[in-house]
Amino acid sequence: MNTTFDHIILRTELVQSETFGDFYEEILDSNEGSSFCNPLIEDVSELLENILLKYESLTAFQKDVLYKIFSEFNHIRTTIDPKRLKSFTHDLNEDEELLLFRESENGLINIIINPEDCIAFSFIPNNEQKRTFYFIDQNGDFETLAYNFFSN
Amino acid sequence: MATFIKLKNPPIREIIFTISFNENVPLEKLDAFKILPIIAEEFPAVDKGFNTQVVANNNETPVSKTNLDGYLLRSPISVARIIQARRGSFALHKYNGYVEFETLIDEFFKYWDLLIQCTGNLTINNISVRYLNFIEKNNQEKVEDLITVVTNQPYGEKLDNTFTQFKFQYHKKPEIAATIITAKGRVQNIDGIVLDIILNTQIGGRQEREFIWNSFFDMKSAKNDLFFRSITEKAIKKYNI
Repeated sequence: MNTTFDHIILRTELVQSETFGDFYEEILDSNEGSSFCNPLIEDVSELLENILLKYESLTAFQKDVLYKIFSEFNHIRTTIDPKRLKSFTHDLNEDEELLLFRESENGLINIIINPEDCIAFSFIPNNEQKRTFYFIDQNGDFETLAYNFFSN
Repeated sequence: MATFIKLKNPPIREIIFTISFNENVPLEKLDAFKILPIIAEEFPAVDKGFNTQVVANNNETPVSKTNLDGYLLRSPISVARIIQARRGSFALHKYNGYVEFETLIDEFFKYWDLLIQCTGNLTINNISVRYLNFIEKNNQEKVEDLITVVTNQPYGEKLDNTFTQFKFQYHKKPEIAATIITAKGRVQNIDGIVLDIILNTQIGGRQEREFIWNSFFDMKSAKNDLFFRSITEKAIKKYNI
């Protein structure tokens, strides 16, 4: 399933206007408009919720790791630059590992979250760039993991 | 679609130029930038952009986590400029009045050069030009009298607000990604239509100043073209008096 950040990036960009920021906030946050009328209501937490709802068999470990990863995605959106976020795909494989991955013009970037105790990052380049592979644990550096996920 | 003409009273309400870069600039470097004499003098009001999130882990009591979200540096109201310095992007806003592109881009690069004096070289990955227009609409006018971007709908004229987004590659320069927003509503108690033209160009390996500069000017041409495609001759007359 593909997850897009386009709406989140656009929304963040629109409300940054000094002149029309409040106007956009009003339109996009209007309680009177139902969600299907409003293309921009999604935020990072809703994307997380979608993944949690889609894969009911996720373990407590996988959910905890997802919270941490999405917290860093949100940190990138609010503090660094929303344009850093890029669309990605997610899937649960036969070993019940949750995969977050994206294919860029430079190669394939993966985050693999094992059901029990391990998170792996890999970047498989399709050019002369260096291949990257590392593991982190539940208390590891999720900020760097998130940057790496969007860096190629 | 209207023909290209230099409007006497353009409906531009805000202009934003942005550069995004690969590096995550430490806040200490942004601190150094904001206290540079020229910046401190021209942008005396500093807003620290804090954002607060409530974080709950497992069954623990939720706690609030606050991050410093870069700085908003404001000029005096009469000058009406804002610098938005974040850890991964740098933007200059001009609001309350029109300034020519050439003047504003010069200013933007003046401040950008000061930023990279503090941070060291930054690897640019995206540049953006955004023009926010507000086309006033009186009770006798219909939306289609003023803009050419019109969505047919069966609900009549009395809509509280509308929001339309078009996203595409600009046909004359496909490297420019265009997003056009039209939104009908009331701004400062005036009815009208926001015509928001947002252009982005991704920057790859070429980092030379001339290339970046020319890419900004390519976007200037694109925004002029798209603006005049988006408004009617009647709107031209309205803003050329």
